[in-house]
Amino acid sequence: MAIETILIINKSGGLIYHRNFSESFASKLNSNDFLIIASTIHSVFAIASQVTPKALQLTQNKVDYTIPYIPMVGMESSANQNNRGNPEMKLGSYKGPDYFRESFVSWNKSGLRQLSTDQFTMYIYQTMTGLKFVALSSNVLSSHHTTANGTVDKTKSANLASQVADNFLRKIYCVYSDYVMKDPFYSMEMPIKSETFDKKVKEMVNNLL
Amino acid sequence: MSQQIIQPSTADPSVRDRSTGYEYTVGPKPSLPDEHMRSPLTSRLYAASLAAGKQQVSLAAMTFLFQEMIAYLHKNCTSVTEFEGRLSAYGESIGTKLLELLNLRSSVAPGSSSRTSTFLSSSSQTSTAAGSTTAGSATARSRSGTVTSSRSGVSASTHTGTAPSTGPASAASHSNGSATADSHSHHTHAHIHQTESLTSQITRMRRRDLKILDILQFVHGTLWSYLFDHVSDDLVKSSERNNEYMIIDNHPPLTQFISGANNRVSCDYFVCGIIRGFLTDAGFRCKVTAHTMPQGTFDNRTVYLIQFDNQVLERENIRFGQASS
Repeated sequence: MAIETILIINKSGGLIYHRNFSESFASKLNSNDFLIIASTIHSVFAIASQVTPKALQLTQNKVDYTIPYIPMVGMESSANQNNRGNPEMKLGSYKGPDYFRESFVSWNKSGLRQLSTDQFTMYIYQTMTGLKFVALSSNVLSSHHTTANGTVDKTKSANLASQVADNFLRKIYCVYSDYVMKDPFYSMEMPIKSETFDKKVKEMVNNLL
Repeated sequence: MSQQIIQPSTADPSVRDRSTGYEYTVGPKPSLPDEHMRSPLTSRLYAASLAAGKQQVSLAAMTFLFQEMIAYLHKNCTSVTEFEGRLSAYGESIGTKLLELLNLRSSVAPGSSSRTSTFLSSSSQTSTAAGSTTAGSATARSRSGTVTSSRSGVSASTHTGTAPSTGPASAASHSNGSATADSHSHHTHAHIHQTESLTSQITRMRRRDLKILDILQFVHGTLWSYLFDHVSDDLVKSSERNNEYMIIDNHPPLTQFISGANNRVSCDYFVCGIIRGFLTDAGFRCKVTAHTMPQGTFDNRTVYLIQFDNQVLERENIRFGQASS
């Protein structure tokens, strides 16, 4: 999964972080366009939660929002890690080889989770506080798998991609909680300028390739 | 006739009923519950053992606290130097306390139950300590009074409780008395109740570090592993100036989340303060500054530059002149 762009949108719809990782359609947009995209995503997200079918809302409790843990998404391979020495120190305040090691329940229960087009796929991870992490991926799901029973496999791979994206964005959230929230010079809801955060995100995106 | 004239400012009915207010023939009467009637407030802090257990603090919680300290100072300081000075003053009080605590912990004989850092400072120190280790643990096991009291006479001047500024003679005589008294009290204490007291495991106080290199080794090893759970990455003497030493940490844990190299260095002054408080209280007056020097993969590599006062060097020359030069 090639990540093109990562956006972070705060709870009031403002864009607080965006980064392009490759030369593509996204890099042709200027920062003003990204601000518009961010607020548009935010509003569409809000509308989507309103248009959730009533039947689904009523049976809300029965829907399983658990996302399985997929090991080592966006992490360095263990062979590389041994060379660096001291792997524990690398994850900031997180212990162990990975940021989290168990399945989790998505907080994004009524809004938009995934947007597929024939140009790109967009994944949205929402935190409990309304912060949104958006990943634009250049992978197009519909043209990926061509097996005999295409339809079944397609939904399967789409599901897997969405789970990988959720795992990945949750890790970005972990990095955010370390390098942005624990930075005394960051003011809430403002654009993120931390270069350590930038570096960590870039590392994780590169590991994903 | 005791009439309620003054209403106490509390909603607790037990207080209100007991209060009799002001009586003009007697004067003010107590309206609050008698403090001395209550059992003294017990705090876990005072009951806790000083022994070095595996105690860890959540890094996240610590950084949030540290973040608030920095935000507070950042709001109240007008210049960078003032900011760094005040942050370092916060650290100094910690360093002062750590000097006593870590010295006490290092005095525990390695054979006893609690986990201690076996890192002992100088080579001469280790040899004497190694010699006394077996004897020390033996006395700890048998707990015979005569051996310990005679030993305390030998190690009289090792007591670090005395102020370092007092003259050597008076300090020696003072600590002689206090050390023997202490050892006796430890002993009775150990006999009466077998609690997990740190003092019961100490048969001989660790000798206070007198040489610059010894105390720096202590900072580099024991202090660093107490604070950050690892030995600092390097201890270097400056080749240009005689009074400058550097302690290097490749990955300072406390300031790792702070963005911007300049901001991070200013925040490292907290650790500088700890070092300075530690050294100054041990009798080594110095100035400590932080510098960032990225090297290889370590972007946060920080150098703590320690500049000793001239008087420290002079003293060292007079006392250990033959040995060092």
